Amino acid sequence: MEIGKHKRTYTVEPVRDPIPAGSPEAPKTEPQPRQEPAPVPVQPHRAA
Amino acid sequence: MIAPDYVEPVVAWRAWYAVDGGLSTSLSSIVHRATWPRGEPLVAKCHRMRNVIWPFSRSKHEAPAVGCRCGIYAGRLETLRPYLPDYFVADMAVPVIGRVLLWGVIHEHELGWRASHAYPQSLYVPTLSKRSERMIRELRSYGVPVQPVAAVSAEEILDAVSTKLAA
Repeated sequence: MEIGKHKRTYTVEPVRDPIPAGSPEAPKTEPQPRQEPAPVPVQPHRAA
Repeated sequence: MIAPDYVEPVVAWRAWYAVDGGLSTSLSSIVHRATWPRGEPLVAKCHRMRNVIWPFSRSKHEAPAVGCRCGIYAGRLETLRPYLPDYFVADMAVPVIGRVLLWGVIHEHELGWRASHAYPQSLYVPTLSKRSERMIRELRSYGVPVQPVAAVSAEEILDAVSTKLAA
């Protein structure tokens, strides 16, 4: 591609997600169901 | 770490081929055999390696580099005409034009840019046959708007897109 003479150089911040929101390919942002803490097994009291 | 000069990506135009691979349709660069990945940016690489036979060739470097021609190219809409065939035919590879986001290291030239990172932003695809309709559906997997354009020549697709932009 012919783009002519060089003029200047600069940097641009990275685009984290180039796919527009709402697209079928966009990452899902729906809230995830809250994870309940797993029950801690109770150790039966061992008789001395 | 050095802060970037700009926050927003450069938005420019370029041409691709939409290549029918049988199971899916992918974007391919016109000049080089580079397939554009889905869902992640294309990262520029310089293919000019040091050649022991030709001592004046450049050493391997990060792309795009000043003094080299490497990088991902894009320009203004009017610069695309020489890279499109005069007339389109329904084939395994169909010319496509569209906007592209450029970021990372950018070399700005008089008529366009060379960038280190890029991803398509929107695509305009000529509707030439039933195969074109399938290719358009498959190109939507890039996650960007894909617009069919009733065009069978370079002049027609450029005119149609210019008209859409002006509307």
